[in-house]
Amino acid sequence: MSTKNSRESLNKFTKPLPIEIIQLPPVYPGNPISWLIATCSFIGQLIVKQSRKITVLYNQDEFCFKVTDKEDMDYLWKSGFYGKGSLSRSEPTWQTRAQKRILGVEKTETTSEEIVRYRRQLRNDYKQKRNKMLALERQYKLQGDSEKLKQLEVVRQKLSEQRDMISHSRPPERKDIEPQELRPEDRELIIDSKHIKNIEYMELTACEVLFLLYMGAIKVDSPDTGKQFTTIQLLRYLVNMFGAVEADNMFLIQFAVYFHYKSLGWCVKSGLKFSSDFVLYQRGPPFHHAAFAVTILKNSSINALKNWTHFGSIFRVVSAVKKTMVLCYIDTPTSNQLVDLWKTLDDNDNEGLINLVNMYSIREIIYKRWTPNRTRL
Amino acid sequence: MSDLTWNDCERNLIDMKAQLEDNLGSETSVENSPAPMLCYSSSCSDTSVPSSNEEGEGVVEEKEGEEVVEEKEGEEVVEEKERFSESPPLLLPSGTIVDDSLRGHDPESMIPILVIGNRALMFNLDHIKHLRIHHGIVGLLSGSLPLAPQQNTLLGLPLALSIDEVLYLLYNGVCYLVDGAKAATAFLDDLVCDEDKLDEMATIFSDDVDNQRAERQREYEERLCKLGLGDKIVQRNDRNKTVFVQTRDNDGLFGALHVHLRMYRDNVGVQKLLLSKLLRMATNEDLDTIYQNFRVFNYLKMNYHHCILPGVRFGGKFVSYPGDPLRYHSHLIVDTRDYYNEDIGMLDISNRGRLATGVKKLWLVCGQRRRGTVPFSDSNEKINELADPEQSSGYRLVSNLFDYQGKGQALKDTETVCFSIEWSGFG
Repeated sequence: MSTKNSRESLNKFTKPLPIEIIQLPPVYPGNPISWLIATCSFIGQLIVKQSRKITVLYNQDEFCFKVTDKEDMDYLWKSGFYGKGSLSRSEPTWQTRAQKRILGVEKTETTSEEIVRYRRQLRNDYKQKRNKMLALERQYKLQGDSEKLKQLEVVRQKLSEQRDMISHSRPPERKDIEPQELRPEDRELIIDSKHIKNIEYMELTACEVLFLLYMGAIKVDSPDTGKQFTTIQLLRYLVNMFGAVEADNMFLIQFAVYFHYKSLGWCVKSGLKFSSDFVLYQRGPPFHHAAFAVTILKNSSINALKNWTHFGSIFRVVSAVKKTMVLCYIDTPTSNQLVDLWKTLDDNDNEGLINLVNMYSIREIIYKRWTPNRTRL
Repeated sequence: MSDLTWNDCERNLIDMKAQLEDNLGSETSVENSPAPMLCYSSSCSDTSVPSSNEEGEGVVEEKEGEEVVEEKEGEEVVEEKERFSESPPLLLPSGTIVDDSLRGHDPESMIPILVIGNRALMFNLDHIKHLRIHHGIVGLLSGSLPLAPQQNTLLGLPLALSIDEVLYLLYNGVCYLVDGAKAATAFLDDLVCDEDKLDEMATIFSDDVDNQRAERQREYEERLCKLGLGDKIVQRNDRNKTVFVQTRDNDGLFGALHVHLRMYRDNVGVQKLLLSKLLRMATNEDLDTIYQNFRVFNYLKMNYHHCILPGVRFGGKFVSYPGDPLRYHSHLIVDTRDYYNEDIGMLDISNRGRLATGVKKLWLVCGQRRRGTVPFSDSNEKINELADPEQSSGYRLVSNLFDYQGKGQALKDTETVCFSIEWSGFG
């Protein structure tokens, strides 16, 4: 991403968490009016903050946490990159793209999907040119034409420069976007000439929901009681969804790892695409590619360690996308310890979650392939 | 080689022929023996020949078969071996009675596989060629010279066969197993007991060495003459200097064993025992896994005639080539986990799909619609195996395979169902 755009992103994504902070105007002890102003400001902001809490809908059948409001979706994405658009690669951009496609509405922002498509197209062009060049080269070599081979060398130079440029290029901004041909189902989406219905929702993972609820940024209704979940209630609910209450519970382990990296300031997203449990972004998806792919291994379970073929194949996939493979060994407490703590959890005391997570300890190992033949000097 | 040596060799051969006829009686088909010149000239392949320097300061090369003996039998045999290793060229004619490197392997006869320790090995180049060309069995060259450990990427004979390949070859009646160590010592015992024969061999060998020396002397004189130094020729016949005697580079030696081999081939009980021993020793995998792997292996070979190599590099049990691996890229990465009965897992699906598509292959998962009726793994296996090998679970599996053998079961394997999985990038 070019410097200009990263500076744009810098201004756009300033908050690491979707939480509003109450900022008080200066209070002077000798000036009662300043107290009054501060109190008013405090109460005002408190009300705004409460109403700002994002509603997350929980769908029991699909086991899916959804955010449907477009503003909330953008807000969650901009402050910490939570969730994934159901019709997009990551950031929920379907509406923007649909407006461009169906209505031809001018939008200044370029969605990541458009950038990806544009770069893929460039790469295809590059490959075709390179293949042509290689064919020519072979032909000239057979003919023994050294003059033309020299000319080809220039072409090769140009091509490799062109290739290096691809990963920084962005699609040109087109002023006059012609709406493409409409599909029959598109007509149902149109509201008026400028607007379109948003059918995309944002999906949050269970770890994200629990984390955000603990941070006080969202509210989730319980499907059983209809009341809002407290953090501990949600924790109980999710752990039960993933199996019995024991130290090896997959959700507890996943959440402990998620929380670990989150508290160290990483942007943690699901790594299913790269056959890992999580991927870690240094700042967030718009800035860099994820640098690390985390695979969770349980120390307590024998089955977790499969075999070297297994690790080798994960590494091949992870290294093909230029990430570092992190093996995250997690030491679980004994089941008795966990059950004892589990009983003492109080519905209204959020700190119970921290006590629970503290029972797990985490060590990381970086896995790399070492080829003795090639690395020998 | 000069005519001199060939003629000499021919003389040796005639002697040997007479001896063998005496020893082995009418069973030996001496008529099959090829022209001795040809047999002698088909010398070592370059993979395992230590180069001798110009002065003829080489070593008498040991034959592969003897190395095997040394490996297995330890100190007891060393003495015999030393005496024996004095006479490798002598044994060549006898080796060529069964296998002729020029004529290739006779497709009608079954091929012996030597079981040595926990490996199934092949030393005969003709057999290896035959298996590769006609059966698509590639194996793994595994021989390396102790003095050149950096040769780890370019290996030579012997060829090690994987357990799946051995099972396939036995199941389809192409090969039979031989207890390598025992067969070799039995042969040596026969040989060593006969004092006269040993003496005769020693004389013939020393004649051969003399011929070598004469040949070298002649070459040396020719060289000097070419350089115009004909007057400086000296007789360099130094008896203490060692000479390098070239030998054949395969187990033609074992051709003389064919009486022993036939015994192994015809005795099904011995075959079963050897195989169940090999099954136990060769891998850590339990028998169910071995059986499952073999089913998939056999299925791919029977239905698609693929060449199958181990697939650890690509995260599978096998990789499958549509023809010889030197001509084609592999098309399939084969996972032998039984998806009917085992959980493969979402992470593994995305992983292997991505990996396979990244290297332009398909990931193949194979399952058995109906699981084999008998589970072969047994918790008491170890105890059984030692006390009574015929009752062990390995033996049961082997018997099961042998009972099906040749009944066309493999061709009608309708229970194996395969799916391929590909990674497609959405959006």
